[in-house]
Amino acid sequence: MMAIDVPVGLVAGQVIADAGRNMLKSGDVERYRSLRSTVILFAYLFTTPIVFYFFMGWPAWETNYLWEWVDHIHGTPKFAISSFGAVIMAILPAWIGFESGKYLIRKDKVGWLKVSYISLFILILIIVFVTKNATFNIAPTYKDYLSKSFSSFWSNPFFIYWLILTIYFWGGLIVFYIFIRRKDKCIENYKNH
Amino acid sequence: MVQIDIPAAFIASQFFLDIGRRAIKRETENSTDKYPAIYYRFLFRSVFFASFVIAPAGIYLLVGWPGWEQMYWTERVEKPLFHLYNAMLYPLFIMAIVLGAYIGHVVGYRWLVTGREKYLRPAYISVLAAVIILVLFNYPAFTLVGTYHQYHNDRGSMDMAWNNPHDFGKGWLIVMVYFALVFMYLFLRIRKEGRNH
Repeated sequence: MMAIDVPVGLVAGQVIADAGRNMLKSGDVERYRSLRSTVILFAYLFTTPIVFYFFMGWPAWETNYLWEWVDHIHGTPKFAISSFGAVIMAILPAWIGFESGKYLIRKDKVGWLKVSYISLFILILIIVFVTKNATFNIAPTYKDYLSKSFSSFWSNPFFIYWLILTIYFWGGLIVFYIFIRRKDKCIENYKNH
Repeated sequence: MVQIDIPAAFIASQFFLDIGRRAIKRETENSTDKYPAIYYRFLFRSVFFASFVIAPAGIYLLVGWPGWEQMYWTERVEKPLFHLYNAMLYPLFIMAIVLGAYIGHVVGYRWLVTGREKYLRPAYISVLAAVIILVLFNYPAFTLVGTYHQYHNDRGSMDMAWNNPHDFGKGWLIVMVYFALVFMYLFLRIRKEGRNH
């Protein structure tokens, strides 16, 4: 959902920065560039596809039933440009999250970085709670939502697909974190010796 | 077009490596790291170009004119709404573009630093030729704008692309100008780096 896509992207970028904290702290250009490319690859293989899947399949729900025009984006440049925007909006938060993480790490504020992404995660849960009517009621279109013609979020197969994609994203982030952390620890161990 | 965009990401990655080959070889010869800084510099460029130019441009055309963008190969892309499988085609398209860029970079870089640079240029030129042949083979798909159903059942009701039906001409031009500007910028920048190196 649009309301949580930005904080989710920020969390992903900051978590990846945290995983590679020694690489970023070292000031080494090569290590920074490798992590930066990793963030963009992660955003395009995990974040953006999920955002786009729901944007194309359930545009009204994905945009929190804010606008009617999203139900009619096919065939018009004016509305279709929103897809261009959706892709950029899905990837930019991850990059910004990463760069903000890098900034905090280089200022020796790793603790603040952890507080930041944990707070963003809590914010995501709060947003879901605050928008629970829009989140847990799946209406085909904006008009259907207004006329209360919707199905439950928990009904299958929507819920199963949502669950699979959610596990794919958070599972992917955990795997990336572990993988980068392992490489990062080699730098820590090398410095300590 | 989907059939162009995915290989285009691969071709662009390898093309960037090709024009930067002197700098790449010089830096890898002077470095002891398996992946020196220049590897990541070019990787970022490939991934950036794919993710901020090719993918958004491609997805814009696929959303706006889904039939034309995939040469009317399938009707599924015209019906993503509330469809669990059809909606998946769009993210798969995006992922394929970025993976194409990544693979193009990894393979091309490997050829450059292991004495197999003679494969680089023929590889991406061959892929480009194959794409052109594929598009021509699907004539007149790229000249007509309409729906899958129209293309396969009633071509007379379709309009020519250059007549700007459904604002297609405007959309396509915006995308091509954006693509060309960023591509030229990267091309000139890499060439300049090669001269300064």
